[in-house]
Amino acid sequence: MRDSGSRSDASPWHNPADRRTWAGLALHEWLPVSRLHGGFFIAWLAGFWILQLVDHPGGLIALGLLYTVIVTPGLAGRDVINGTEEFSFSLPPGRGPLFLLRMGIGLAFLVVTTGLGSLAMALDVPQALWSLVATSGITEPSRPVSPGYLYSMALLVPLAAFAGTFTIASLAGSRGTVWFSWIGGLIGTGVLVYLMLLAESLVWNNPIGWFACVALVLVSVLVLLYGYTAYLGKEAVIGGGRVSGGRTATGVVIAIIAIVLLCFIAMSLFWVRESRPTTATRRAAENVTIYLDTIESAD
Amino acid sequence: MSEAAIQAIDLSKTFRPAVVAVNGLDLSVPRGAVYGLIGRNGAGKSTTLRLLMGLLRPDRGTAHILGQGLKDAAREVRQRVTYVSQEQQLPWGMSGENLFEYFGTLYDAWDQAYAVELGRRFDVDTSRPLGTLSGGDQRRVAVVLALAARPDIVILDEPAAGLDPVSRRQLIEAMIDFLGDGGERTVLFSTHILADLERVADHIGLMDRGRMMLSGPLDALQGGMRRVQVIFDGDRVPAGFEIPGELRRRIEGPVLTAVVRLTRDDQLSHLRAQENLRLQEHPLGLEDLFLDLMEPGQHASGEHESFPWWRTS
Repeated sequence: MRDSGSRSDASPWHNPADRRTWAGLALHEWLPVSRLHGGFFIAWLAGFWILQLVDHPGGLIALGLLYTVIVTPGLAGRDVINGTEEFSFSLPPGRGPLFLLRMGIGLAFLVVTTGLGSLAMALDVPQALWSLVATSGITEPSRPVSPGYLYSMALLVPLAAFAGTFTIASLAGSRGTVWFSWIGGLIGTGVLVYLMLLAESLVWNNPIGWFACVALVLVSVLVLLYGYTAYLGKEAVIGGGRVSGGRTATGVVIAIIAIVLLCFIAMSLFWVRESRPTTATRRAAENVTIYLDTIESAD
Repeated sequence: MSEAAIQAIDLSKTFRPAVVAVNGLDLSVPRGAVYGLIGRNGAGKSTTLRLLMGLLRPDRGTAHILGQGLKDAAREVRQRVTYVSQEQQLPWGMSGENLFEYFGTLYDAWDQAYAVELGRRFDVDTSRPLGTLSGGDQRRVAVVLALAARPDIVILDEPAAGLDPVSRRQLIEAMIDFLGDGGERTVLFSTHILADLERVADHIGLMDRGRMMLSGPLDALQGGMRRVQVIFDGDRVPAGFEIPGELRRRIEGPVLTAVVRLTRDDQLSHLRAQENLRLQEHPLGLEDLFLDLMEPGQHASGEHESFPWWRTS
């Protein structure tokens, strides 16, 4: 019999067996979610780079939130949904690598689509690339969008929503909690952004989003750190068979409706903040001025 | 056999609301042993195995495999242990062949040829997605995975549950093959099927209400256990009468029937010498032993009784 091994402090990349394990695990984790990610990636390529339907950072936020709602629960809580947590936890890699790999897949996707997408948008890269093949016609130069912090938000809002959703779904003890984990992630992120903008408005006349961006980064990191630590000690959810496709489809439909509503609310919030006459008294005053001007011009 | 391959000390687990699944369990499985865990439904066997595998957190006590808590053990230790759970689901989108490939990356000692051979012997179609296979076929795939990883320790929770008699026989034969491949393999398995247990186990542990009632080498337990019947001349068993080594008793009028563990040849000789009673002694098979120990005993008053050694522990 071989000697008992002990926890190794050496990097897993120094040991070929560990490298093989990580590679196998990564492939095992990627394959079941690859189609969904591929679909999102194609939608992003088409909407952002080719057709340029997305020319506002808010569009990237919506894409990131949609990803959080539709993909993240299944990514983090797949074992609970399929009843395979006991199987997965009993395999040699254990809980830690599972969490890290799944988190890595989600973060990588978000960074590429929303993060790099936002950077490309700010630098007008898609337009510049298109101008190489078409200098007139349907393409037109991108206009800078105000407020500027939306570009950072395009990455950080989905990131925070992902962190919350991912952690809740990973630690879930039931399928219901996994399916609706995104509600917690989105509400938490919304409340955080709102509070930070409110706090900024007390400090500066025009919020620039600095508080919100810093808070989103900090909270995302802390939530994921907490999730990782708690996942290491998580008790396996026992039993439960495969969920029928019908329930999955219903969940996706509910999720899409909910995300559309949430996007509408979120975007209306930005619109209101951008337009100047926000109070009833100011609008009334402007109406009176217009009325008086009309009378004066008639005279 | 040297140190214990699997050891639990004072292991306890309570599920909410206040369901005591495992209650101060002590378990020691020697290296190289085939240890069968038996007990009635709800005795705590599956919870014990999950605690050993680190799938559940104990409320109290320790559970060690190869000298370590498995949950926090390094991959080098974890890959020497495989587990098949009673309610285990496998990834339904993968085929058996996909899983063989996957396990090949996870277990250093993975034996692909043996996996293919076992799959063929169990007559399982390993090319189809697991979601399209029957429950029995999925279970067979799980057993193939557990054995073909060539681990030092295999933990099986009701491995034959839901299998037909032919499959059960194939499973037992596969286990025997696995044990005879030259390595010092340790197997811990729970079962309700005593015939399987008698065929492969060399140690058994009998669990009841979260505790270990009896544990030890099968031969010693079977050889040392007797059903002893004492019939008194009067109309009732005298108060305070006890048979030395008595584990379990049932009283009906003047007849005391007890399961007794014999540790000495002359353990019952003083009873035989008494004139006011007749004593009969019968050997116990494993099934008789299980039934006698598990069946609720009755006092003359109708109250359930517990094992005498429980009262003193």
